[in-house]
Amino acid sequence: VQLRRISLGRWSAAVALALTTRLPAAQQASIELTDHALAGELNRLAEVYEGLVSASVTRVNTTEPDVHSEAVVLSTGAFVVTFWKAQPEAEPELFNVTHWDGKVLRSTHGPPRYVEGEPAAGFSDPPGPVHHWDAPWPMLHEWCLALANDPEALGFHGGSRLRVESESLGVALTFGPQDECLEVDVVRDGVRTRMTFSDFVAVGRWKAPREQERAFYTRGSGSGEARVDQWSLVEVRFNDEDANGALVWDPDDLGVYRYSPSTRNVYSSDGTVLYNEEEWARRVLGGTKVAGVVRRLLVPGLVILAVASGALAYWRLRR
Amino acid sequence: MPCRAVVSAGARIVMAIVLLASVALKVSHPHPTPVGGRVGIGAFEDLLIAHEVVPQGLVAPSARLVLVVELALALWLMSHWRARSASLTALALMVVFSAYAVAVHARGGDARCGCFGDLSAADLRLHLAQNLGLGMLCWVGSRRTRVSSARDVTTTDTREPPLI
Repeated sequence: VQLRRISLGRWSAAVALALTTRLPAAQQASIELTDHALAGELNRLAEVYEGLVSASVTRVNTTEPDVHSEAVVLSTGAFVVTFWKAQPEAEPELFNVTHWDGKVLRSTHGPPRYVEGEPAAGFSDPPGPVHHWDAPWPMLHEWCLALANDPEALGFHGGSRLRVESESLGVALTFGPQDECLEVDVVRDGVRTRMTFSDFVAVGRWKAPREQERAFYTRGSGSGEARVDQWSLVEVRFNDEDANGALVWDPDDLGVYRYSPSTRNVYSSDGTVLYNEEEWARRVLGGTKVAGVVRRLLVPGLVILAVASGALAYWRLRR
Repeated sequence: MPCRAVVSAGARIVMAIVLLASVALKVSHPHPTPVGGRVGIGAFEDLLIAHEVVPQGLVAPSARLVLVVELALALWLMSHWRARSASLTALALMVVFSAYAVAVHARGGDARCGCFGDLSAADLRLHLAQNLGLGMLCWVGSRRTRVSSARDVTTTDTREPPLI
């Protein structure tokens, strides 16, 4: 297989080389798709994954069996990741939260490290801000569309697998015969992350894996040196009501609360209902309406009172 | 009309305007507070709860008392009746507010008292400078304006001329 139009401007030669040399043997013998056929496949896959906007994953590290993790990832770029040891009830060892509303990035990596403000340039560029190494599925729709519109994207078909890669986007995806996502290869900020998924089960109309292998390659070491960890995915939920609508950020607690779009309840991760967003909005909007009227009348009202008081003072002084 | 009396009356009017604005801004607080999620006077109560200076049971009455006192004082200042007493009362109120801001700052490091709703200053020095300015305004408003002397002059001037 030969890559067309490789430019080495963005990523190092080692990373670009790694994208090709680590193709599985079955794919080495695969057929390169024409641009038209590739665009058709990618648009079809984008339709398959359209509507998958959140994923909640509970998993255990099989290389370190006492390390558990729960991740909630949204396609908006918000995510919350909690790690704990041995028991889910134990205190989280690392609490990693990022909330991205398209303008402001708020992130904490194990309190009290906290960041708030506009992110660095290119933060939202593909492959995007999603915490994809924990749960890449909410990004698949967007990635497929981006790859379909990328003239530098390459596609290979073989062994009932489809592999699509783009050096400029920094994304390579591999899909199985049932459109399940077998592998995600993402390059960002000089780090390449490859996630390989296996042992699939149906979750709604999508396929969720039960095993995950994750390898990190730092820039320049893409030829094979990697930090690899393996996870057994205990539970994967797509578009879980718990995380479907949004994650509500609380800047005071530096935490993310869950939001149920059906009940409009906002509740903490332990299930305690904190408040009902609809009631809260009604109260706020009602209060805001009154506040708006008062504030509109404030300046003219004060001017009238000041003039009246001035006239009274004048009258008293002249009397 | 003596210039001093005009300046004094003007200071009282400005002080009254500030107090009325304070009342209006408190009752029209547009943003829900992070603690209680309330707006309007509820936001002011939430702030008082967060300060933990006033006992929990007295927060709501205290918030309303502050509003009533500010409103009554503003009307008193605007009436120019017993002007000196009104101005000195306003000065005393500024001292009380400043002491409260210092107490809140000592507890939590934030001097935001909610006096001007969402426009309240969070920095203690700015807060105290603002209160000092208002206190000076009260002092100017409390200066004797010789209204009685002016009245005497007016009475003399309006006397009918003696018949020739």
